[in-house]
Amino acid sequence: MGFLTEGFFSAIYLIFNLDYMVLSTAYTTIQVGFISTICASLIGLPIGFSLATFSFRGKKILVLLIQTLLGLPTVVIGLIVYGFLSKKGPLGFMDLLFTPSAIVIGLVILATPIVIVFSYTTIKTVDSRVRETAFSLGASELKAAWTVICEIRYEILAVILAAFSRVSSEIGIALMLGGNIKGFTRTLTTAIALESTKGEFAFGIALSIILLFIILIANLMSFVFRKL
Amino acid sequence: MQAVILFLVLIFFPISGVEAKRLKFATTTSIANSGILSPLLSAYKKKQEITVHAIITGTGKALELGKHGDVDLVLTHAPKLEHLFIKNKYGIDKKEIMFNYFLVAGPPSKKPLLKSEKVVDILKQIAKKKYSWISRGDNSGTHVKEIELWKNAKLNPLGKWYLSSGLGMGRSLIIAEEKNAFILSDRGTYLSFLHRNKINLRIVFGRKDKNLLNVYSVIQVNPIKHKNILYNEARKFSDFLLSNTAQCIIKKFKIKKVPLFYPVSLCTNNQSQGK
Repeated sequence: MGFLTEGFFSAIYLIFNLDYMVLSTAYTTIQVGFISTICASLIGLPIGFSLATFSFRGKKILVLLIQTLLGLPTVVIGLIVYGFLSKKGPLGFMDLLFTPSAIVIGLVILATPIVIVFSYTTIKTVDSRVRETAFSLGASELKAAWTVICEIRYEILAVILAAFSRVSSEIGIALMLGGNIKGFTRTLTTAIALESTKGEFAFGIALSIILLFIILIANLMSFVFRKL
Repeated sequence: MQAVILFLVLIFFPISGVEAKRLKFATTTSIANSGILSPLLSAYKKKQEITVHAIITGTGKALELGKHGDVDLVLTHAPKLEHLFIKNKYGIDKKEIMFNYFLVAGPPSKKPLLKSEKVVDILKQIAKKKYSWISRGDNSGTHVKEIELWKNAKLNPLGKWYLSSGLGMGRSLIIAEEKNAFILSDRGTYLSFLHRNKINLRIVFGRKDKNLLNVYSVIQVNPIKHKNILYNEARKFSDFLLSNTAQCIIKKFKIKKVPLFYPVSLCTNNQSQGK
């Protein structure tokens, strides 16, 4: 138990002392988390929107399949992407394995189904009346879509934040595709795993407090955004 | 708005400029956990321009990464797996860098109950009394050695007392500590955990028995198998590990005045770096 309080105090110490290794690790976490969340949102939101708005054959099966993808273990995503990025794999020539870009690719695959499923369910709840009103006021298809999105922008933001929280707290992909290289691909989660293999539980707790702190700040930023 | 743009530039800028040349080097958790890696890498950094990226994993997976050509060289400690790796032409130019001895550790309360001159007899006693034993079970160098020892003892460890953790050395030691079990460990990880008060296990058998010899070797990935391998850069790094500078670092690397590794060649120049 002692390591919990010890971890709490060393987190405060690390944050205020601006420890270089911790800062670079936190930076990598924010970097890969942010980029992958943006990419996943750019891919996922239009798909979620289309699924909620248009009806076509096989839609239910498609939604079911994407919902199933939510349960994909991160290590499996890591393995699959590893197969592609390894020197022997089809994308091996790009030399992406064990770089932050490799982590981003894996995280986009992880986050996209999350964005699709949650944006789909959110948009579905408000869709019909708002869209019909927009149409009756003479809006084009695109304009109507924009109206719907504006109507639920905070919910969409919440979806994006959920995706961000998920990718920054993920470990399997970061470990497998990043390789946990010090000062390069080491993220907070892989660092926590490493510290726990070293038996440095307090330091692991300290790092996880820093991770939660980052996610807290991301959520606070959305609060500010709402006020604007 | 400017703040947002600055933030985006800061986030995206470094990812576009991935270094053109970097040496990828897979090594084992026992090396990383002991702490010997940092002084070696920083000494190399002072000398050369190429960045060395160490990927830390078990010996089995390190060799697997080499097999796929995802790393340029490996530093491992499982002679049998290494032999296969070279025999199948995945690796070349094996060089022995350093060595130490494995040890058997166990709970202090049960330690006096076991006494023998030979490590196989210790294992026989543990199996006979059904004392808990933690096996790595992860195809690591230590695990391969453990299997070899049980074979030498002509025993097939099976039963509730024999637990396979599937985890790295450090975590397995912690499990052994929590479960009051015996375990085969490399000296480096054991001492580093003992001196940081993470475990209270005592050495049950710690002699320099040739059955327990633990040799760390560096092997380069065969450039014929994978044409993207940085053969010359890897060669420079492996030569460095055998150089006087690196061998002195290994010799002088100690935890509480106890050396963790023995270099293969004598460290002749005493004024070179080291703590």
